[in-house]
Amino acid sequence: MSKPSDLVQGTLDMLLLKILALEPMNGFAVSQRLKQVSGDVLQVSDGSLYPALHKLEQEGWITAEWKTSEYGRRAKYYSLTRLGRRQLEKEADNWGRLSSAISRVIKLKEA
Amino acid sequence: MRPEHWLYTIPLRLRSLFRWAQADQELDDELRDHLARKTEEYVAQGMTQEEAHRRARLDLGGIEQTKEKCRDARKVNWIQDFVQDLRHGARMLRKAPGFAIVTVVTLALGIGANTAIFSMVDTLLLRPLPIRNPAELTFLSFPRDASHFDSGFSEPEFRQVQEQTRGVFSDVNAMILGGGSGAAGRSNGLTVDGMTKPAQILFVTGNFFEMLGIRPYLGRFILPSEGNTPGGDPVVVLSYR
Repeated sequence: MSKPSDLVQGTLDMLLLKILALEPMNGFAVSQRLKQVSGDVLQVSDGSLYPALHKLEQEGWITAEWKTSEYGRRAKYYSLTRLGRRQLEKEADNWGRLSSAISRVIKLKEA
Repeated sequence: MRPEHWLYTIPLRLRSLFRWAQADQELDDELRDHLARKTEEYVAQGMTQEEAHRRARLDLGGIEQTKEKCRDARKVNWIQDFVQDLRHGARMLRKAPGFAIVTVVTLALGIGANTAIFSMVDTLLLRPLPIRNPAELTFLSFPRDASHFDSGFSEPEFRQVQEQTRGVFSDVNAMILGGGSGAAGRSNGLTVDGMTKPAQILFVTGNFFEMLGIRPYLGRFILPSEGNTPGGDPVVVLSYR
């Protein structure tokens, strides 16, 4: 069984990939969207967000583009790659199996 | 999927390697953009500009720290991937030993040949001569006609050049290469303890060593006063390695 911290890091990657699968966006928007769609339950700290995004970029699962934002500044927009989509599917499958297994154990009737 | 993934990530890794400075600047821009957006968010929630900015910075937890973590995220992967690539390469070589042997031999020959030539060039051409003022040393030869130069000349010719160029050259000396196997009937070999070895000999005028401004390791060099009488001063200077 993985350590709690491993679980969190792995799921963070998966969540970020999923958010970017919805549409390309910049780092700030990713954390905002995640917070929004999870009803404020899932919040990424700013200090963890960017290292995670850069790791995903390094692995080739997301790719980045610099565009002029609506504020007139240059901003970095991430989008999911083909490889990233496959990785997301794989991790989502694993997560599904893991979470249903945990649910099964937790729901066991106690004597 | 593994080889495809590997190929895909080459441009990314090359980029992190070679455009590190640009990547660093981009990281800075990205984080500042984030701060600006966060600040605007807080301002929209009713904070003052300064308060919003302060909160945004606190949330980020230190730009430099975050930058370090981002750099680490890229770096750790690089090392891990490099080790993985090495292992992958080793596995591939083990599967095809014939190819591996041919590659190793080819590389060895290429590297060996290059090293040998470079060492030679380095010793002969690239290193300055270990004498005083190597830049001022010149080799003289006489033009016999339009395209031929003669570096051989007689003693009177040498003396003439030596005397008439006093204003141009600080000194002129002459030398001639000799040598031989030391076999019977041919001199110029070196015999030590009954063992004879061929030796390369340079015959020089008396002022040779003084002109070059070098000092002997042991003993003395040939003096300028020596060598004026043929056969008069049998002095030899030995080199050593």
